[in-house]
Amino acid sequence: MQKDDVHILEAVNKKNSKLYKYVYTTYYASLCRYAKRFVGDICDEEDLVQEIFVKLWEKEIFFTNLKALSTYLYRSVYNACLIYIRDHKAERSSELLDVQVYESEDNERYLIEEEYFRQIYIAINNLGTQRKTIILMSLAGKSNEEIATELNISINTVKTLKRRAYNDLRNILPLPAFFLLLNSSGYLFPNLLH
Amino acid sequence: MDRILKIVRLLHKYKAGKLTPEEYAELQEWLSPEKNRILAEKILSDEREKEALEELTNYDSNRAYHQFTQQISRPRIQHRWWWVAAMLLPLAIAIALFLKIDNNTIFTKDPFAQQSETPAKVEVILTLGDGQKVVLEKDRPVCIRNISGIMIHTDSSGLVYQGEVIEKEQLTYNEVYVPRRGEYTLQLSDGTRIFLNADSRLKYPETFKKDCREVELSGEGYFEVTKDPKRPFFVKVGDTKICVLGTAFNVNAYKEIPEIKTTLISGKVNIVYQDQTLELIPGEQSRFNKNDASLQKERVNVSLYTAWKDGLFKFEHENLEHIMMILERWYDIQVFFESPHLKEYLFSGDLKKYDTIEEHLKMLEMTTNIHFTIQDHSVFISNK
Repeated sequence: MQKDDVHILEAVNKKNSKLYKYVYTTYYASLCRYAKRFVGDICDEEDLVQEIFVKLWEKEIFFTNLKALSTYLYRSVYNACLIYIRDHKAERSSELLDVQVYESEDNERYLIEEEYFRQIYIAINNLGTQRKTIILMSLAGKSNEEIATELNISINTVKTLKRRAYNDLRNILPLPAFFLLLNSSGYLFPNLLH
Repeated sequence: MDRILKIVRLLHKYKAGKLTPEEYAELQEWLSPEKNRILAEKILSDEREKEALEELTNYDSNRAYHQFTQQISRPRIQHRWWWVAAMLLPLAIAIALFLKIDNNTIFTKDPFAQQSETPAKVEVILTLGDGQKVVLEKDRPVCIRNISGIMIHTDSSGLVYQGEVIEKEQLTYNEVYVPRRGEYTLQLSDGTRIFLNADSRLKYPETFKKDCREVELSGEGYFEVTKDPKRPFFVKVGDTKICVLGTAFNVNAYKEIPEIKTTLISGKVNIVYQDQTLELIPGEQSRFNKNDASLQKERVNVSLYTAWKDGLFKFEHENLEHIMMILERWYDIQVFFESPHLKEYLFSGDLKKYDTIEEHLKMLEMTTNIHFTIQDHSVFISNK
C-alpha cells in the first residue's frame, strides 16, 4: 500500500481530521464531476458531495482498502443524487429513477470514465508544486511562452521544468495509470504540449 | 468496482501502448458492445482528456476541506466513548498484564504463518459407505474402485467420482468433512462440482438414482450443478431443501449462524421449506431464519458471497463479529471481544484468504483504533 493510501484509510477509519485532507484531494473533484452528470442542472453538486464527506466522517465505518472506500463514495454520491432528484421533483426525475440503477451498464460506463480521469488527475497532483502548476497550465491550453510570462520565468526554464515533471511521473509513480502520460518517446501529453 | 478498475487499467495501458496480447483480447471483448466502444473513443480522445482534467482542476478541494474542518469543529458528542473507555480500562490493564507476564509480544512471531499459507494441509476426511475413513491429502493420490463399479479418485483439483447410473434399491452414501482451515473441491458422479469451505460437511450418494439427485450440506458450499432436466438436483440444508435445475449457487449454512443463505449466480433454484416455496433468479439471495422459520429473498451483490472460492474474503458494511467468525473458521482461532460494542464496528473491503492472519490484523490495526492481540490460537480485540 502507498503512503497516501494508508493516510486516507487512517483518516476515515480513525477519524483523523488532519489526514482527512487526503480524502478530499483524492476524491473530491472526481465525485463532483460524477455528481454533476446527474444533478448539475438542478443543484450545486459541490454541496451534495460535501455532505457525503461530512456523513462519512460522522459514520462509524471502516475500510480495509481504497477500493472499498471508492465503491462506498461513488455509491453514496449516486444515491444522494437520486434522492435529491426525487425530493425536488425535477423534470428528469421519473426518467432517471426509472432507468437508473447503480449496477446498470450506463452507470458502469460513467464510473469507468470518472475513475479513468481521476487516476490521471491524482498523478498530476502528486507532482511537486511548480511542476504541477506548469502541467496544469499547459493542460489549460497555454503555450510555453504564455506560461513563461505568467510565472515570470524564461521559456527555457519552463521547458526544463516540464521535462523534470515527465521524469518525476515516470520515476516516482509506479501505477499503470501513469503509463499513459508517457508515449513511446517519453513525452507527456504530446498533444497538449505543442 | 473490480471490473471497473480493471477496464480503467486496460484503457490506461492501451493508451500507453503497453497492453499484453491477453489484455488486448480482454479489452477487445469489453469493446464489443457499441456503447462501450463509443465511451472508449470518447475518453481516449485528447479533447475529452483535456476537458475532463480542466473540469477536475476547477473544483477546489482545498476550499471544500477548509469548509469541512469548520463544520466539524462544532462540538461532537464523544462522551459515550470516554465512558466506555473508562469502563474498559481495568480489563485492558488486566489483559496487558497477563500478556506481559507471559512475555508474549504481539506480531513479533508468526505462529499461523505456515498453516495459513498452506490451508489444504489439513486433513479432509472422506467416509465411505461401509464406514471406512480415508484421509484426503493434496500430495497423496487416492484411488478406490468399489464393487458397484464406481471409480473414486483424487486429482489436482480434488475428489472425483466416475461411474454410470445404476438402478439400485439402496444408495451408498459417502461423506466429505472439511475441518477448519481447510477447503476442498469434489466432483460427483453426474459431473456436478462442489467447492466446500472450511468446517463444512457434504453427504451424497456414490451414484444417483435415475429420477433424482440429492445431497446434504452443512457449513458452506459453492455448487455448479450439471444440467439434467430428467433428474432434478436437491440440496438438503437443515430443514430446508434447495431444488435445482442446472445452475451455480452458493449455500451458507453454518450451524452457529441463525440464517441459511442461498445465493444464486446463474440458472434457477427453488427453496423449499415444508409447504413454502421460494423461487430465486440470478442475483437473488434467500434467507431462511432457523429461529422463526421465515423465508425471504432479496437482491444482493453476488460477489460478496462467492469471493471465498476465489481466494478472497469480501465484505460490504459487515460487522466485525461476523468477519471474525469467518476468520475463526479459516485460521482456526478463537476470538474474544473485550467489549460487545466492538462487534458492531462495520467494515468494507476485502482480505486475501491466503495471507496470514497477522497481515490482516496488522493492516486493520494500522488504520483503525482497534487493537488485536494474538496469543497462541486466540485473538483478543480491544480499543486502543
